[in-house]
Amino acid sequence: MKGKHKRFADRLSANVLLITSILILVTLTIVALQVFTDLAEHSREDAARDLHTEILRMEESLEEAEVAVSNASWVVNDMRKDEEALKRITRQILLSNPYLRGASVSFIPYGFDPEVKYFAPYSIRNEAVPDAVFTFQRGSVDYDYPTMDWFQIPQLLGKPYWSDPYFDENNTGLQLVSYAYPLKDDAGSVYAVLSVDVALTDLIGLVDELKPYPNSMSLLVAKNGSFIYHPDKSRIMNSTIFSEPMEAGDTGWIGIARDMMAGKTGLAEAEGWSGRVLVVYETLRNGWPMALISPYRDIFRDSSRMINFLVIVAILSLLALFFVSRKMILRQTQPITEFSFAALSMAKGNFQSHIPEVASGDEMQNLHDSLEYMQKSVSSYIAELKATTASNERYAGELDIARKIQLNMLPDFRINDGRVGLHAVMCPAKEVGGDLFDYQIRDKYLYFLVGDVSGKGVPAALFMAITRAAFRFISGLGLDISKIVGRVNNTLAEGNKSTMFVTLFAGKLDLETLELHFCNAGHNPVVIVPPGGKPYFLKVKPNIACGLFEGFAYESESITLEKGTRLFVYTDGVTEAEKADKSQYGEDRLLEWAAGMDRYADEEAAVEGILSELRTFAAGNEQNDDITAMAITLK
Amino acid sequence: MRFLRYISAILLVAASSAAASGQSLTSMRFRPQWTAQAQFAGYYVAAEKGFFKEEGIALQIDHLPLNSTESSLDALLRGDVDVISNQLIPSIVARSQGRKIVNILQVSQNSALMCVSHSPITAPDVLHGHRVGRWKSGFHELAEIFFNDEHVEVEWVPFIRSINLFVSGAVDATLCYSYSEYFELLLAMGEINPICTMRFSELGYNIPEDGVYVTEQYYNSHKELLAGFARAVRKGWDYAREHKDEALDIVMREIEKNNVSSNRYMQKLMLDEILRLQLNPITSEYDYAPVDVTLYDYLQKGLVSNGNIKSPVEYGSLIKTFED
Repeated sequence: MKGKHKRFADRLSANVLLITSILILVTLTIVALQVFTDLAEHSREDAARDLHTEILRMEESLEEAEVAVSNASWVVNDMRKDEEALKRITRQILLSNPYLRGASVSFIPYGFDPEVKYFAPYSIRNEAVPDAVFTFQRGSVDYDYPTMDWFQIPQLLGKPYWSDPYFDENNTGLQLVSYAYPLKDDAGSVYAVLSVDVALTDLIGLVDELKPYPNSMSLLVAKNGSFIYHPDKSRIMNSTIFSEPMEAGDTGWIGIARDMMAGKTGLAEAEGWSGRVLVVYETLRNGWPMALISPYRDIFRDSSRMINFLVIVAILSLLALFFVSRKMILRQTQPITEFSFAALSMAKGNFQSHIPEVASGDEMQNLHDSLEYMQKSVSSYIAELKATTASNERYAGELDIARKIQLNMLPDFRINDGRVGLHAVMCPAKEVGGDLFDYQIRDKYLYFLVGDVSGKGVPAALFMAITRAAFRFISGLGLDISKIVGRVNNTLAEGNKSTMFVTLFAGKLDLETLELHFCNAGHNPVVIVPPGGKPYFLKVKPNIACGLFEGFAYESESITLEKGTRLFVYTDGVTEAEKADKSQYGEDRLLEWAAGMDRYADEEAAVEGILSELRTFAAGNEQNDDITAMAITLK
Repeated sequence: MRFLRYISAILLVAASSAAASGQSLTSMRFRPQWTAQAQFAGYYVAAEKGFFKEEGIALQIDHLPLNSTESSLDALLRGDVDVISNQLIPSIVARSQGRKIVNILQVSQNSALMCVSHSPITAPDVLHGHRVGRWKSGFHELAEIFFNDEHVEVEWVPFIRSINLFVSGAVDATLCYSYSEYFELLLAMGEINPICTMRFSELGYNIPEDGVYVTEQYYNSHKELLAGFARAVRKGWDYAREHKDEALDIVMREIEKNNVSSNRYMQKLMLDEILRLQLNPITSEYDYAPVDVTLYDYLQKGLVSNGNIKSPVEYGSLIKTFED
């Protein structure tokens, strides 16, 4: 029992735990989603702002070169026929701008001197000596600058051009980008390109430091897609922004790359090396796209920690909730265990078992009160039942005694002298019956009687006792049989407030003359079986049953029988013996049976025989009426 | 006596092995017509795998300097190198100009020449009057013949080696090879609309390109050696086709050695395309067959009418084969 009780507490607290967990989970999820959404929003704004700031800074550096060039362009234009002046200008540009690595004024083929194909005064720094500048002519068959990008593109476009990064193996041995400015004559044709060179390393020096988050990284891309800056230095100039995504078939990154190369400003999410990353991108004024990539893991780290902390706190709280509520439930429901003990004890018959006291005024109180009431009412019901059972047993005992008394009233001796044989049996339907028979031999007469009191059970048995006692006494007065029956009738009818009556057949047989005087009082016709002849019902005057009308004048009749005649006297319990289908034994069957009476050895056997017949006929159906059978043989 | 016999035996063995190593390997200098890349994978693989050594050749691969404006042909004629890789058309032109070179192996079986434009090339005359980029060192004869046939006049803009000219918009269209600049353009721009491209191989101008060339003089005096060279080269390309990853490794090493800026993905794309171009369209086999005679004659007519050569170059004078 204890185990079951514990499981109830567990189940209830588990349900509480489950519901609470769901609620907490939902709440935490909503909170987390809100936090991360806000955070994502802010991080995007912050990243875009950081990138923009960095781009502005880079554009400042680029602007230095652009300004240096545009400042020099008008001077170059003025001096374009003066070789020495042009050389000086290139030197001056370098000296005024420590940021620049090289400066050159490169003329279109034969543009300076129709005899000379290449004319490109060019100054570069002497790394060994600070502020020292080398100036020389750059063009040659081996350095055919007119077919180089930094010259050709601005020449063809007619616009200033920031070149894509290239490796200047011929002169500086550095990775450079050049800003090239086409110089136009009055007709608008390009006659030379004024260019300055910036070292890649100078340009991207601080890009590395743009790290709003620990694992942020930046990308700076040239117009032809190749990297000007990449955290993996080996990629710079060796691969393009499309190389890796195309090789991997990563459509996400390819899309971002296309947007960047199209000069768009925006943001996107993509898969990085270790999870999702935020990518913000913007294009510099000169057409170079730049991107700032931050892993979401970094962005969400602090918030993740907070949420993790909340989750742990929640889990611990839920566990505590589980155990505390379980304990509380156990305590609250302790009386239930005791109630169930008491109920079990009651079922076993102990109505004094203790019901624990409860005064909480709630459902427990109701349960306690109901149990207490049940205990009291069952207890008194059982006591009543005991008394009733005891009185029933007493009654049954008395009935048993009454049965014995009744049976004792009936003669049980067999008459079997040489003149006549007689045997009779009464089988009551209940403990006591309403049938009776009697017989005695006095002098030369055999007096016999079979009667059937209306009804059955104790009332009929009492009436039967009176009838039998009256017949015994009156038949000893030597009267005529009709007078005997009349007096019995008067005795019964006197003061008979109940409508009980008794049918009877009384006979007085002269044993010498074999004359039978008889009086029938509403009873079943007697069966006569002449020796060697067919049985028949004795014709009788019906008169009326006894006990109804005081003073009724009964008439008797007589018949002379011969030796060997059998008589069968009975009550309607015989003819009205029922099968299960309510069909009755009937008079025809009785006659049939009576025709074979001589097969029986004696009267006792005959009586037994009819009883056996009836039992067979009834086939297990309950006996509905008292059965009396009396067989008489005249010897 | 015995001692002497031992000594002489040892000396004999040493001498003969020295002689063997000295005599069996002839040194040859090879120059591909461009910088180190998967375009010449077969040669690198053959060298690495010792196929040249098997043929008694100690091969030295000597690439063009990066910004050089001269061609491998110039170096061959000067005698700086013994054998070069070169394209068919420039070789025909050179031969017609009296430069006595011969072809001993035709590696490429298809034209890789393409034209990529910023706007759709619905018909060739779309490019009329447009600026079209071409290599400074030539290789555009086929395109010239084509445009002449189509009566389209373009403004040729020579470049050295990069695609920045096209990407920056300085030219309207550019010639490129399907195995090199095409991929560079793709990796620079992210996508190329096929409608903006033109492949000469699909327009009836499918002239093979890369082959192995030597001077006629060298050929006459080194026939057996060159037969071996051709065998080794074929073997190298066959091996590369069977072992692409290994070939790529070899190519990447060569690239790093020569300080060329590229990446493995770009080289992989190039190698796949180069190998594809080696499939003979007539026999559908990788047979390194010499150029088809009919096609060759057809080409001569085009070159003559384009003014590249004065008169056709006789097939047999240029194209040599070996019996093996």
